[in-house]
Amino acid sequence: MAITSLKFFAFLAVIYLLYCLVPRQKRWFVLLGASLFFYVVCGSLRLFVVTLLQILVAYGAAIRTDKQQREGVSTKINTAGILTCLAVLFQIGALLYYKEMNFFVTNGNILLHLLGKESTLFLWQIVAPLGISYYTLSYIAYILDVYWGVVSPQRNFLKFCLFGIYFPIMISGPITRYQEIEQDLYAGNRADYQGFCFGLQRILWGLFKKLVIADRMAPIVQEIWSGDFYGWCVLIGVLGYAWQLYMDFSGCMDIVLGASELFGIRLPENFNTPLYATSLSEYWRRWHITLGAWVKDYVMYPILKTKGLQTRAKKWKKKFGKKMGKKMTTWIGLFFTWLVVGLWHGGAWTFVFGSGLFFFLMIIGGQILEPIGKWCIEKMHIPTQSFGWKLWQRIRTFVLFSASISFSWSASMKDGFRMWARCFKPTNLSSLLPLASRADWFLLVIGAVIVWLISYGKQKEDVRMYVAKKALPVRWILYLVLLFAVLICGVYGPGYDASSFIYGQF
Amino acid sequence: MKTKQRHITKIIAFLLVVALLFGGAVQVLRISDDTHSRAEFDTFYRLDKNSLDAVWIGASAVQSSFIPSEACAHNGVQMYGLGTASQPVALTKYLLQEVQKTQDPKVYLIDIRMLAYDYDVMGNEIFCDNYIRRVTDSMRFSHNRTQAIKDMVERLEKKTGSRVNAFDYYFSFTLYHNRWSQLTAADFGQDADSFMGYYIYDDTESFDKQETLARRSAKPLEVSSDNQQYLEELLDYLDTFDGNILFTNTPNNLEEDKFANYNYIKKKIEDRGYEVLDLNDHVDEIGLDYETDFNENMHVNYRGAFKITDYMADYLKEKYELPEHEKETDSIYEKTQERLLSRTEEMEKRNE
Repeated sequence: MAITSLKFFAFLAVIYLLYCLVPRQKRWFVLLGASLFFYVVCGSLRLFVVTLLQILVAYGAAIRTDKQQREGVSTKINTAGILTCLAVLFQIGALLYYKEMNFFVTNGNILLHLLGKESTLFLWQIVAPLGISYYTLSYIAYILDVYWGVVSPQRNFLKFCLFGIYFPIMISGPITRYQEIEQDLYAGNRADYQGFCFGLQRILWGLFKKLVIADRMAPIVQEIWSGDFYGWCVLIGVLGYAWQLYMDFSGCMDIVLGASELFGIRLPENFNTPLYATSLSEYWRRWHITLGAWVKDYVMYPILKTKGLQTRAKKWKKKFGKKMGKKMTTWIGLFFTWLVVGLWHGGAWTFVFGSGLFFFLMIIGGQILEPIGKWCIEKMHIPTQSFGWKLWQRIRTFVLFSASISFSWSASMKDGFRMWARCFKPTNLSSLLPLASRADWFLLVIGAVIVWLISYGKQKEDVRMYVAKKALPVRWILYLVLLFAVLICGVYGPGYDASSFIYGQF
Repeated sequence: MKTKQRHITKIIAFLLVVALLFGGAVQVLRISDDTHSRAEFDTFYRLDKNSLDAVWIGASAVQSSFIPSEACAHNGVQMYGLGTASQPVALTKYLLQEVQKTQDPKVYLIDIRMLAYDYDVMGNEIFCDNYIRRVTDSMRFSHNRTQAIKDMVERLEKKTGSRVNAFDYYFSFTLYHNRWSQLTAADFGQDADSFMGYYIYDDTESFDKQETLARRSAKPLEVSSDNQQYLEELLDYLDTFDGNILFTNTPNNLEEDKFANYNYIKKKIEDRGYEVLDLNDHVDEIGLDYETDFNENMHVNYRGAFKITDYMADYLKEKYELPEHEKETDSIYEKTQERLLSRTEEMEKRNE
């Protein structure tokens, strides 16, 4: 059941109705039932056993850990710590098995081949449980947060189940922390009139980005990737894919967050106008925010706080100076962070490099070259606060981001580099025109302008609040234009695959 | 409470506006094919209730052979041709029911031409999404349309062995919504190339009349099992149908096998007690000229259509004692006839 399909909206309407009719204290039951139903329809009942096992481990480990810490049992062995480690390893193991097994098998065979041995490892036919990449990180965060005393464990098993499989987040996230949604999830609130309208508006905006822009861009990008296009056409394809990805993923998030808002449940934002980022570090603070925050809190900081690295940091500071010493320590943390991000996206070098290590290289490169950059700006008297300079930074950042994720789109690293090599051949930009009708190109341009305007508006104030203050006819015209843009210009119907959200594959 | 009422009122009002606009969008963004199926049905629905003396159901053979405005101008008979190019026979029953909703004709004519076809000239199956949709996407929302779609979807699934998404049939807007960039005057009810369902065929191909007519005596040849089934089902349905039925076979120059098929079909129909008017047996009375009146081997051109129309109008008027309607200057028949004559005059001048 794709979240852009009529079936999903009919399901959402029924669940919302039930949610409103049921007494407030029992409303979370409705959500639990809906989530189980959603899981079975979109996933598999058989694989739910795996999810249930992960839920049991996280639930049990957290309660046990909390009990031991409260009882203050003092022993030489930190049993709470061991239990937490085991529980986290179990979750990581499940994720690695379902997502990375074939990556290890393939590279294992390559290694065996390099060592002159026969490649005897077989690829596995593995189907992953629905949403495993998202809920596993949520469980790991939960287990660690309970251990660190950040949050108290949930003692009601069914309530805890709901946290993990809450249906709006099963397809593409966001990656939620227990403490972020605990209050709203079980409170049984529902949106007031304005909240209800805002939720619907957000869903509509998400549908516009997904159906009108992203899905219209997709066949064009696909054609450029697989066809005989060279020079600037390839670059346009690269930028086009990044744009498509942004529209697809952020559109999905808008639908998910909007749907959740109807139930009075505020989920964490996953995007904060990444087009306005002036550096790659900033881009990743505005793009897939929940993943970035997760790896920062549960990978990078724990690594930086390890005794080994702290000792090394002291030595480096002594040897290379305080500033450089600190940077070098951070680079170690960043390396593992980006490695995890890359691996999370998928079991292939294209993801490990394209969604991960590329950013590590760019960020490090930027930091190393920073003094040279500053010298150039000073010598050329570039006004760094000017609109032009900011625009240049934003364009540069988007181009670099697009360049990295182009590898994620390629079938292999070789294909990725081969595609980039095509950039250096002569161009014929007009060869792009037949890839879509005039009407489609027009819509893509208008869509981009609208998205940019909304993003610009968001920098100043909440767009929905801004529109809500306008006169009724103005508001209605805007809503109707958006609604009919989706109904008439949206890419859906016979021949289209409603289920294909790009981040759904993760 | 007042605030709640205000909110509910706003929601209902907004939904009403959406429904209105959406209804308009659905009306505009509909099927558009080169044989003007939509205009054929739209015009039919606009006719005055119980104003038709006869209705002729068939595929492009009827669409190309019969001119409603000419019949009315000729002898005052008001008749309509309802059908689309390559129309699957399985839909005939639903078209008969569609007619009965607003009309009460003295006679229903059913053309048999499609019963000899399983594939079109390009080798595509006749019973396919494309040709079914020409009818179902042109019909108005109704229980009859729903039933027709249900039936066709079941048959398609049985035939293809794969699941068919019926939703897209019921709500064809999902297929046509992206036609917004291809809208023409025809989408707003101004189809200049449709003349009350008649669609002008203006090519000319010459045939040897005697050679063609000699094929009429071909030994009956069984049609495919699918077509046999469609015919049996249709005849079973007609046994309980309230109305006069006349089967027809329109003039053509098809190969001998097809004539043999039609002879088989005619016998089956006659054995069940129904009458068949084979116009190939009446070409002299019609006055068809095999040098100038055929578009190609399957259809007559506009010259042939005028002649067939006049013949049919006279034949039916006599046989079924059809009334002669008063000619009104502002009627749809008069206006259409004026448009048609002006167009055919232009064609004649171009061809000279």
